[in-house]
Amino acid sequence: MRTTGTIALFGLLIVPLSLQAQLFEVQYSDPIDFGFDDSTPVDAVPGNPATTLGGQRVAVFERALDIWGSRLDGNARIRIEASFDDLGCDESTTLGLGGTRALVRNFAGAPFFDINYPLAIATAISGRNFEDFDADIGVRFNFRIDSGACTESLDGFWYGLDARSPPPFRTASFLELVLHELAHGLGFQSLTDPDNREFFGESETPDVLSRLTFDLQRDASWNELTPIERVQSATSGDNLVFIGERTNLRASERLLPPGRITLNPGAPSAQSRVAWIQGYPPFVPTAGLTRPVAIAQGPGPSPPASDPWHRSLACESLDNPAELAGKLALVRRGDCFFAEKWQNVFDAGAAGMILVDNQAEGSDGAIQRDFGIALDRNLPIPIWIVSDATGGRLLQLSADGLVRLGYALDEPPRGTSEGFINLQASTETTGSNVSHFATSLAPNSLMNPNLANFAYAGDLDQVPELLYDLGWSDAGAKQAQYSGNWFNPQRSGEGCQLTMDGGQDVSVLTCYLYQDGEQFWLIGNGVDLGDRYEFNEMIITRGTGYGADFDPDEVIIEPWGEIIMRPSDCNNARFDFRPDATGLPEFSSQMTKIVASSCNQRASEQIDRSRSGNYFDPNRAGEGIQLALEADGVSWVITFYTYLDGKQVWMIGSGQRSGNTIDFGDVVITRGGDYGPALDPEQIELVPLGAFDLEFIGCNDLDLSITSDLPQFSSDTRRLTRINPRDCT
Amino acid sequence: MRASSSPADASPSGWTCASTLTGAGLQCPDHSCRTLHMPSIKWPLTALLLAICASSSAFDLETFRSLDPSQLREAEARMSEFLEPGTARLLREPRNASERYLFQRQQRQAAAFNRRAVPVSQGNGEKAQAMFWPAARASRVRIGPDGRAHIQCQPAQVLIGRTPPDFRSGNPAPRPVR
Repeated sequence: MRTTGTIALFGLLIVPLSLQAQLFEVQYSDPIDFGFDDSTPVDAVPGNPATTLGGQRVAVFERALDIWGSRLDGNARIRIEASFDDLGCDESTTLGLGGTRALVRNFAGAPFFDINYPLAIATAISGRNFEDFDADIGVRFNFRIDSGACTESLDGFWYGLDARSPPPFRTASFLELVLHELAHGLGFQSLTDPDNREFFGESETPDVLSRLTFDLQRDASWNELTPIERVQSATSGDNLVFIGERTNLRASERLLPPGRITLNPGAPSAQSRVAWIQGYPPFVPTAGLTRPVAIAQGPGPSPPASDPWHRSLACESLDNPAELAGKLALVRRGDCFFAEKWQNVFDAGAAGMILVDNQAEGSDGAIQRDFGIALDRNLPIPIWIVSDATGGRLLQLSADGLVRLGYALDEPPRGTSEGFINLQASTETTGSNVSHFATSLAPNSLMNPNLANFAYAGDLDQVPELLYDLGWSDAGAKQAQYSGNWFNPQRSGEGCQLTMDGGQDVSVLTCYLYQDGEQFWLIGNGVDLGDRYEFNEMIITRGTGYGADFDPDEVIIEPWGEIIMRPSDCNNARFDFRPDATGLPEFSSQMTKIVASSCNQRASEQIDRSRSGNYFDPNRAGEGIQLALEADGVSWVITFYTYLDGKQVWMIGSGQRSGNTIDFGDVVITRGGDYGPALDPEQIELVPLGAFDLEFIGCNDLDLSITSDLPQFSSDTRRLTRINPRDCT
Repeated sequence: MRASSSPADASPSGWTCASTLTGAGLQCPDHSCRTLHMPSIKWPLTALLLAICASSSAFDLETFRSLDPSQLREAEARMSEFLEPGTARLLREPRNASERYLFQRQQRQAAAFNRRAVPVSQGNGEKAQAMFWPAARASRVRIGPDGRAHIQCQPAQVLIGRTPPDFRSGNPAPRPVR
């Protein structure tokens, strides 16, 4: 971004919030210069600029708390004891562990009598700390992992926090591990003895998870079964489900049906066959992806030349990118990691990879149906897996033959039975049972027994809802945590501003963007869906002028499309722009708040953002300002949305409040950018416009004085009122 | 509990774990470690027991740092030779510093797993009970046949070598008729 004036907008400071406001309080109990305090110098990694080992560990741990803190709320601080320990180095090495520090029942406010709760839930509900215990949750991690000599094929933890950078080969994601272990401590943990399924504590007292753990065959919850019945139930496969209402509601909108691959779709000869989808993104949209197929061709020592897959292992750069471009590449299993094949296919320009098994279907060596591939890459093309027999049929397709990757939409989502989400209940790895979702879920869950170890963006899938079903409060009372201005550091110069209007429950989003070098802006109301905000009816306006040339009757309002905001925590969110009819492409932008804060707060301790919101002059409907108090509680950002010569214009500035006034002395107008993928931040120029002086009048009105240094924008004063008035009583 | 075997030169034969120490006059400073009753205790083992007690509630970083890493890895690889999986009972006398360290570590963990705190009751019917290690979950990494690390979450009792029951060869869940 070129700057013709000084602007402090993107350089505001982070102010730490008081400890009292925290939802989670961490006690790092390591000795000095060890574990979370380890002063060993390390290189910064993507998203984690700390330069000591301990510093990087703390940064990841606190990001995990931000992620959980953005989705949960409670009436008291939850105390977490975290440390590093020697958890051994052998053939099967422990990376970390976690869980509740105690069980408690019949506490004040307990939803059910004689049901044991993990301590964190009891604390969150009752609003008091149980002083007999020095922490609610305990987590420990193996410091020896980072020695590089602990276990074969693993050099250490990956402390990166940039979701675009997956854990490199031979590393394990510390963020995913911390989130997973914390989830157990938060309550996703069967409080039954895995050896005999007796309830921990006093054997007649069930735990809260057992209340909602259901055996479909017996038509009974676990708290109604005998220990022997629970032992049987714990290994009963898809017979074991979780019946919490909110969890299943979320699961129903997230989980995908089994995959199908259709040869020659739409033709009389169309043939549909089973395909296996991996549990990790990118996923094919439910409408499917239809493309021609082409067999990958490249060097490789095997299979023998007589084999039709002779040169299709894709273990090295492919020879036929022109043939593969935009098509689905057929690749044979074998000889190298799937990630390498995926990379080579992507590099060749293919639209997707169809991985063909090299073992007979049903044989011991065949790829398991619920196979989850841990990939140390982050590539935008899907991987689908088919049997050897289906691969043979694909080979017989004509050169122009089409294939559709889609789903069996008439079948229930994977990982569900009778409409309920499956808990893990395997006969093979029984130790993982009950305390996780089933491995068959797609998309994969954070609480899959097998940690994914892939590029992790903080998606908690349906795990928060499971915790709500157990007794945690959701974050609905602190949705103002997302208020403020958001931007993408790689796309500096454009952004979005979110405020909670009315009684802090009406979300209004404006986005300030560019097309062909000129500004434009969008505005719309959103719906809080727990894991995302949907702004389905964003509008765009045009048609009038600035100042005295403004005529509300000239304002033309048109639907633009939708914007989906997917926060991973209160400071980071992906914005998906989906224009309807403007001819503009869809694009996504990973944004961060211009003023970040700890997301680890309780609703009752949030800063007062009641002055934030959207204001306008009722006689000048069609223009107005959006005013946001940033997360530090002192920085304000104003955006004035108006027009010049029939086109949209926006101006932006920052200031600090003094009494009832805010002086925005650095207001700028911008130019030079373009839309979506065409944006080059270097082309954006900031032009100083002047100053805005604002004075609050009552709780719903303000006076705005505009002092412009630019001749095309006259100085002016306005009396503005809220679009969504607050109750001032 | 009784050690399953005992080399001739070692004292642990006949070791008995009990809630209080009666034979050696030794007592842990808190109740967080397993105490041992030994009919005849040689001095090195007494020192070892003291070390166990001293380090019972916390990782012994100082001792760890004093170890030869390769000796420690070798000792870990043969841990089942001198410690019984699942109980951490001594099968033979530790032969070097690394084995002694591992004995301490595994004893500390086994004690934590086996401890069952007394529930704390309040007058209003509230009842709470400490319960970390028996219920804790642990993420374990193993190297699969493809040479890659696979991470799987298990009960934390795997730390002391306990393995969850395996139902693959039988004892399938019956399918009752509703």
